[in-house]
Amino acid sequence: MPLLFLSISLVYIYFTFPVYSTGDGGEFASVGSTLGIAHPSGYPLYTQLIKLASFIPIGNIPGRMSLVTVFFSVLSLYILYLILKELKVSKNVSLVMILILSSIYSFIGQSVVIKFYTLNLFLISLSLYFLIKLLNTKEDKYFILNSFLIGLISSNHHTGFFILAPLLISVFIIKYFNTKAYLKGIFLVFLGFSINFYLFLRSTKDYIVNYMPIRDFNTFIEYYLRKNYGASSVDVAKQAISHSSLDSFIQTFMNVFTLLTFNLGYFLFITALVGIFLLFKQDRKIFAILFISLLLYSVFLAKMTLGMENPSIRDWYVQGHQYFVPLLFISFIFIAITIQRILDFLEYHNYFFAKKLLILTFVFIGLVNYIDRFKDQNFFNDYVPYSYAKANLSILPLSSIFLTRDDSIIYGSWYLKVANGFRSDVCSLEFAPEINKLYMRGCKPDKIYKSIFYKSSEIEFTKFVENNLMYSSYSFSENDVFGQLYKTKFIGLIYKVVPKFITFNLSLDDIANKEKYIKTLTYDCLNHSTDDYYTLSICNFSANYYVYYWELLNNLGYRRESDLIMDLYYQIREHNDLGNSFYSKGVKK
Amino acid sequence: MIKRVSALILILLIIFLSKNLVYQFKNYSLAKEYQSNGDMYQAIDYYERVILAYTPLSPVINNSVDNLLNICYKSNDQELKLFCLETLRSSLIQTKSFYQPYYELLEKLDIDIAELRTEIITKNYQIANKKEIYNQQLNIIKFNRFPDTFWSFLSILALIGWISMVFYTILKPEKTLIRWIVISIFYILWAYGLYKA
Repeated sequence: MPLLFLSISLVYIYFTFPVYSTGDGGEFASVGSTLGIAHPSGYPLYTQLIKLASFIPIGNIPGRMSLVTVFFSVLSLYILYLILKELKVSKNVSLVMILILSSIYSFIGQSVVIKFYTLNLFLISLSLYFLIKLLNTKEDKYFILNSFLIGLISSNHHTGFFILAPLLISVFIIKYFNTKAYLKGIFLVFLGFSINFYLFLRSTKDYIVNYMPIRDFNTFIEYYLRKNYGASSVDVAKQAISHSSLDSFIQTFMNVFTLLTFNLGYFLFITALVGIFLLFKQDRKIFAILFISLLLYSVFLAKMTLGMENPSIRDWYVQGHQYFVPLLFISFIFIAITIQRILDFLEYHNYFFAKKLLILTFVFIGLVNYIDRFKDQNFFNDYVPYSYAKANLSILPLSSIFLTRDDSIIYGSWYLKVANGFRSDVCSLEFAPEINKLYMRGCKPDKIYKSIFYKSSEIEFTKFVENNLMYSSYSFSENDVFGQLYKTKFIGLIYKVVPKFITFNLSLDDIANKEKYIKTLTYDCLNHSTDDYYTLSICNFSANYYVYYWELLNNLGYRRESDLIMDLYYQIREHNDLGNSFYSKGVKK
Repeated sequence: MIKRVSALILILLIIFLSKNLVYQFKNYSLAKEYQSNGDMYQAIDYYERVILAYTPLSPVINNSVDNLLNICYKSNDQELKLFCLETLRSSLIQTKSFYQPYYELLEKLDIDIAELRTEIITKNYQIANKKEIYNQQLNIIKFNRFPDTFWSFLSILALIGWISMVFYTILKPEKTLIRWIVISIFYILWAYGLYKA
């Protein structure tokens, strides 16, 4: 067993990003290092744990933070072992299950990035373990421990709350009516929840990296329930249940089926289904809580997050890849039960060789999965998010304004510029096109940026545009507030903002000059070993630079040079083809 | 359980240390290669990656810092110099733990970057008031977003302390009054530490 956990830890740490991960990785790296406030619902427990990891005097800060994710992933695998032990699954089968689960695409994917999903899984799995103990022993302490866990979960991620349903069902099944324990439980839920008090305490500081300050109770409730994204989490959950047609449930079910068969394969998927039936016959109490958990973390969660018709590759990678790690975990409990039953059958009939062969087959499946993961979830060489953010900031002139929109560049800019001071002269602003709103998080606090960028109450954008000091990471559309006033011109990686009615032509020097900043990113885009959606998207976007370069060279008659540039473009596109990524087969062409 | 968790933490740290050593040597040889080819921007990027794989007392880190300083201060190209100094400064900040490696060097870099930014801004936009620009830039550079090391460390230890103590008290309900007093102390320390940090 120690050898298995050692090997998993070794591979997981090897697979982590060299600096920060894509998606929210840059955000958590900056929020964690400054003890700031992350996007709603704030994630105070995770933020403080990654801050603790940042004190390790080895490597860089985000690299240390990814250890927290690995740590909780490995601990969750250990909890799987304890749960299987409670269910009388043999040690060999448990270890084989741990090996296979640890090699599953989405499980590994969430175990090696700077994100809270493995902490969430750890708390959920521990809660399931205590629930099984509660059902088996009826001891007060397991009810009370679960209450405290629900409190802790409330300071991490909303999906953890689903575990409340199996707890209530357990209470009902074993007729556990103990007022004293209930009162203790309620107190402990509040005690765990009080970790959210962090959001108020840290909002008093102006130096932190802060998504939004929380200064009163109403703001806290809105933030905690994620109302900033439109509908609150509660409304989304209500809608998932009430306003649903049969068709939408079928669609959701199909998406869950696709997600599971992609990750587990058909054989393990069927094994899990058989396991549900076997557990029903073996122990109905434990079946009830595990089955309800399975439903909540599959169809119900998918109804809230992955119920769309024809999910895009982004939907699969963002929603499917992230939220359903508990589902994979629970599926493996059912798979283990089936495998154990098959092995018992073989042993009973003295088919010892077949028994050994079956175990070896599963070990083989796990190892083959790992070989695949070296090609799709191996972030060892993935400097792409870092070099992309660095190249963006480096191209900008001193004291310029930089409009950002997508997470990759917003959070990259937070990490490099805001938290670590690289090109701190730049004022980076975030534009939310869906609500036409501008956030100034990368240009705060006022006391140091105001004298340069907005002497009056607001930034005079036209002045910056006229002085060639306004840039954007995205192209303006006619509908957004800036698109009505200005236009954008791609200058290599970023866009220059220019007055709407002027003609702006790039010279060869303008574009060639940017290559020194983009070269490292290009090298990184050709040398990573992952099919991570964000990494591929960044690389595909940045490859456009070479198209512009090629066009200019070609127009000026430099055929040989332009061919070389185009060759580079095709190499980047080929190495970063989204069509070859894991979830691409789930997208209807 | 505590022994197993401690063993896991130790194993993770050893593997992490080894991984960073691999990064150091791999990126250092690439950086040297780029430097000898005169590809200075790439050399800077790869020396930065060596520093990002920081391990205390590593000669490779020291060499990378020295080589970067050489590139920065020997260059007459202001654009390259700015890129180099900014890279060196931010890479060192990213290695901060409970102490800041190369603290004295960072103090010097702050001033040099502020001066260089001032020089470029005043030249490009023909601004006469150098002093004002210099002060603005120095203010921005000197602005520290990291919380107080002592209080933030203590606060998170206190958080882990009270959470663990609650678990322990539920699992082994003995001397509960004393334990709840300890939990309260940890809780207050956690909240106070967050406020002070």
